[in-house]
Amino acid sequence: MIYHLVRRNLLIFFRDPSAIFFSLLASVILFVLYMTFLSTMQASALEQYIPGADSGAIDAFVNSWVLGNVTMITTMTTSLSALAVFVEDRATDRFRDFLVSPVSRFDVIAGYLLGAFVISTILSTVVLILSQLYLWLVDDVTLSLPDVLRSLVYVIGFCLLFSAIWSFVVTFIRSHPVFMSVGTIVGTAGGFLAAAYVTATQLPSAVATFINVLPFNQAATLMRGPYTRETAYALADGEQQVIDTINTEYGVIPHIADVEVSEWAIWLVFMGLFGLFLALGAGRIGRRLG
Amino acid sequence: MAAVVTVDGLVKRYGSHTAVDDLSFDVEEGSTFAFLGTNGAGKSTTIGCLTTLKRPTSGEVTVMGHRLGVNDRLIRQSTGVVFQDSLLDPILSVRENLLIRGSLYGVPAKTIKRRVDELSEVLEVEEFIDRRYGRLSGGQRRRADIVRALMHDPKLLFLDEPTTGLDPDSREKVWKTITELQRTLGLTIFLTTHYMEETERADQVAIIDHGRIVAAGTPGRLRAEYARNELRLTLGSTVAFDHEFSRELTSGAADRDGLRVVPVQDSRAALEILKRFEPDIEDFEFRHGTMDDVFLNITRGGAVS
Repeated sequence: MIYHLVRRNLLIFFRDPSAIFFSLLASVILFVLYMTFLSTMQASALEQYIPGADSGAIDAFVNSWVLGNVTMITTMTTSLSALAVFVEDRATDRFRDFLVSPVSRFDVIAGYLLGAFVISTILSTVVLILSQLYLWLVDDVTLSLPDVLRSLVYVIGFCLLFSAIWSFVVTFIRSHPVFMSVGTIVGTAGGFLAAAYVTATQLPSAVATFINVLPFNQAATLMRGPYTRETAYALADGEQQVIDTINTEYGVIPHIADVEVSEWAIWLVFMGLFGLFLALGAGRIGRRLG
Repeated sequence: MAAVVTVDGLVKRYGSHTAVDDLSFDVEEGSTFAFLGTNGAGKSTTIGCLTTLKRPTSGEVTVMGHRLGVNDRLIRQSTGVVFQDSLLDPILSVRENLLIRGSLYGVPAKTIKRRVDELSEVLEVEEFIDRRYGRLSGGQRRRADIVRALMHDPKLLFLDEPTTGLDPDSREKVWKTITELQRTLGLTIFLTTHYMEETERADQVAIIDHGRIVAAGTPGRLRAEYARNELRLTLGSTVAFDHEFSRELTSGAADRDGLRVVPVQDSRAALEILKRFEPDIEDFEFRHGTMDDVFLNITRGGAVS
C-alpha cells in the first residue's frame, strides 16, 4: 500500500515542471550568484591567505566549495518542495479518498514522508552528479570514489533529516500560497544559514555561533568535506598547516555552537533531530488526516 | 431482502453541537436509499460515519454485515464512495488515477487494468480516460469518480450529492448511469441529495432535518402523507367558483385576478371541477404533489392535514 501511495506522490510531483524548478531555484540562484561575482570575491580573499597560489587551483577550490553548498541546499529545499503534495491534499481534503479505501493512517503518513525522501534524494543525486560533471569539465577535478560515495551517503542522510523536519513544519501550513512563501523563505534564508553566501568566519562570532546551532550549516560543513578535500590539498600544495587554515576559514570543521566537535557528534545530533521531528511530524500529519 | 446497512441510535457530536441526533434506519440490499436534507442537516456527517471517515459519538452501525468501529477495514473493502467534491488528482490522467486508487485495495494489477477497461466502457469514460482529470467537465469528472468508487467491485455504493453543481444534461446522464449500474451489478445505492425531484427515483427516502429523521418511507407514501394534488384555474368569472370553494382556496394564490388554486384528492376530482366550471375556465393546470412539497411541508413544520 505504502509503495502505491509513494508512487502516486512521486508521479504528482514530477508531473509538474514548475514544482521541480522551484524546488531547485535556491540552488540555481546560489550557483548563478557565484558564477557571476561571488566567486571572484572568494578568489581574491584566498589569494591573500595563500600568496602565490595558482589561480587555477583557487578557482577549482572555490567551485568545489560552492557546489558542495549547492548540493546540501538542494537536499534542504527539495525535501520541503516534495511535501507540496501533502499541503495540496490537505487544502482539498483529499485524504478522505484514501481513508475510504483499506489503507491505514500509518500508510498514508508513511507515503508522504517516504515520498518527500525519495523525491529529494532523486533530485539531490542528480545535482550531485551534475556538480561532479561541472568540476570535471571546468576545473578538470575529479573527486575520488570514496569522496563521491561519502557525498552520496550525506545526500541520503540529509534528505532523511530534512524530510522529517519539514514534515513537522508543513503541518502548520494550510494553503498553497503560504507554502510557496515558506519555500521562498527557506530557499533564501537557507543560503545564509548554511554559510553558503558568506563563510561563517566572516560573520560576527555571535551570528556564527547561532548558525552553528542549526542543522543547516552543520550539514553544509559535512558536505563541504568530500567536495573540497582534493581541491584544498592541491591549493595548499599538500601543506597540512595551510589545509587546516583553509578548512577553518571555509567551514569544513564541524561545530556545535562554538565548540569544535567530531563528525560523529553531528550525526548523533542529526539522528536525534530525525527521530524527534519524525515523531512530531507523523503525529501531526496523522491528526490532520481527521 | 436483507439489510446491508443497519443504523441504530447513531449520534455524532462536535463539542456541544449535535450534527446527527439519534438516527435509526435500515437500507435493504439492492435498493436505492435517498437521504434528503438541506445543507447542514447532517447528511454528509452521516455518510462520513457510515464510510468510516468519522467516528460516531454513540450508536450501533453495521455495514455489509461488518460492525462499524470493529471491522472498518472490511467495511471499506466492500463499499465504494463518490464524494460531493472531486477528489481524484487533477494533474494525473483518469487512467492513472484509477490504476493508483485501484491498487489501494490490494487487487492484482492485471485485474485492476481489466476492471478499468470494463467500467470505463460501461460508464462511457473511454473517450477521456487518458486526459488529465483536472481538465474534464463536471459531468465527466463525476463519471470518472463513479468508476473510481467501483474499482474494487463493491456491492454498496455511497454517493454524497452526486449531481450537485451539474447541468441538467449531466445530471440525467449520472442518474442513467446509477440506474444502469444498479440493474447490471445488483448494487445497493445510498445517496444524499438536496434535489427533491431526484428522490422520486429512490425506493426509500429518509428526510433529515437538524440531525434527525423527520419522515421516512417510499416516495409514494411520503407524497400521500405530506403533499397534495392541486388544480390551478384561470377563470373569466370567479363568482360561481368563489361561492363554492371560498374555504378551500389556497391562500395567496387567489389574490391574483382570475387565478384560483384548489386542493384536490385526485385527477378524477379535478375533472369533476373542470366539468362544472367549464364555461368560466380560460386555462387550467393539474399538479401532482411532489417531493418538493413533502420536503417543504415537513421542514417548515408539520404535515399537510
